[in-house]
Amino acid sequence: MTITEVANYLRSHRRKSGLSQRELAHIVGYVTQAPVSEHERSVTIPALLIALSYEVVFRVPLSELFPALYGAVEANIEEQLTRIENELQQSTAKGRRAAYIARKLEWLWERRNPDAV
Amino acid sequence: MNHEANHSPRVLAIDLRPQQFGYAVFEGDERLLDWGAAYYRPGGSAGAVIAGRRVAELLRVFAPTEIVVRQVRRDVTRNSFGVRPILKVIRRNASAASIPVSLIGRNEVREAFRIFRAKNKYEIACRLAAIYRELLWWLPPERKFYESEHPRMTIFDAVATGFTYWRRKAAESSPPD
Repeated sequence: MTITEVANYLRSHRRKSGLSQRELAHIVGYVTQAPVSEHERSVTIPALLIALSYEVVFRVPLSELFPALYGAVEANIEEQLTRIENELQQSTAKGRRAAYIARKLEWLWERRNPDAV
Repeated sequence: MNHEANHSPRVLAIDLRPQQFGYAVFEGDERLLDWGAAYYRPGGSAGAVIAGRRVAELLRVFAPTEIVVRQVRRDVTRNSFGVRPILKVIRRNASAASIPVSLIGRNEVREAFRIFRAKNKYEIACRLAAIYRELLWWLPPERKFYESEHPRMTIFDAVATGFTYWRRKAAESSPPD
C-alpha cells in the first residue's frame, strides 16, 4: 500500500481554527475567498508573501503546511547539489581556486552531516 | 532541515443519507484533517452527481488509502433506495482511484462505543467531541423527542464510523488473549 502525501494541510488547520475561507482570505490580504479555496485544493500555489502569512497565522512551518510541494523542491535541490558535488570532486583546479572548491565540498559534507560538526 | 513525510494512512469515513452525506478525513486515528456534509435533493441522478463531485474532490485533495462507509439499514426501505445511487457513485470514484471501500455496520459502531458507556447517538457525539476537540463547537444541541435530527449529526456519524474503523484495525493488529 503506497501512501501519497497530502498536497497541503491548509484546509485542515483552517478547519481546526474555526476560520472561514473568507476570514482567512481577509487576514492574509485577499479581497475574496477564491484564492484561499484554490490554495486549499492545490489548484494554485500561493505567492511567497501569502505562504509566509499562512505560516504566521497557523504557526506551522511551510514544510508542514505544504509537505508535497516541499518534498518536491527538496528532492530537486538535493539532486542538483549532488550533481555539483560530483563536478567539484572531479575538478583538477590548483591554488586559490582549489581552496574555494575544498570549502564548498566541506560545506556540502557539513550540510549532509549536521550532527558531526 | 530534513523534511519528514507523514506516512500515516488516511481514511475517508462517510455517513450516507438520502438527502445528505457526512464525511470525515482521518490521518491515523488521532488526527482529523477535514469534516463536513454535502447536501443534495433526494432521488434522481442530480444527487448522485453532486455527491460524486464532492467525493472526487475529497479523493483528489486528501488521497485516502481507504474509504469506510456506514452501512445503511436494509430494513429502512426509504434510506436503502435513497442512498443506493450515491453509494454506487462513491464505489465508482474509489475504484477509479484504486481505493478499497469497506462497510461498517451500526452494531459495530455501538460496540466500539460501549466501553465509553455511550448509549445513544448524542452520547457518542459528545464522546467524539471530547476525543477530537476541534469538533466541540460543531456539537449540536441534544435532540428533544419531538424534534427531527440536527443536520450536523451526520458529521458525527461519519466521525463515529471512522473511529470504529480505527478500533477495528487496532483489534486486528493486537495479539489475541
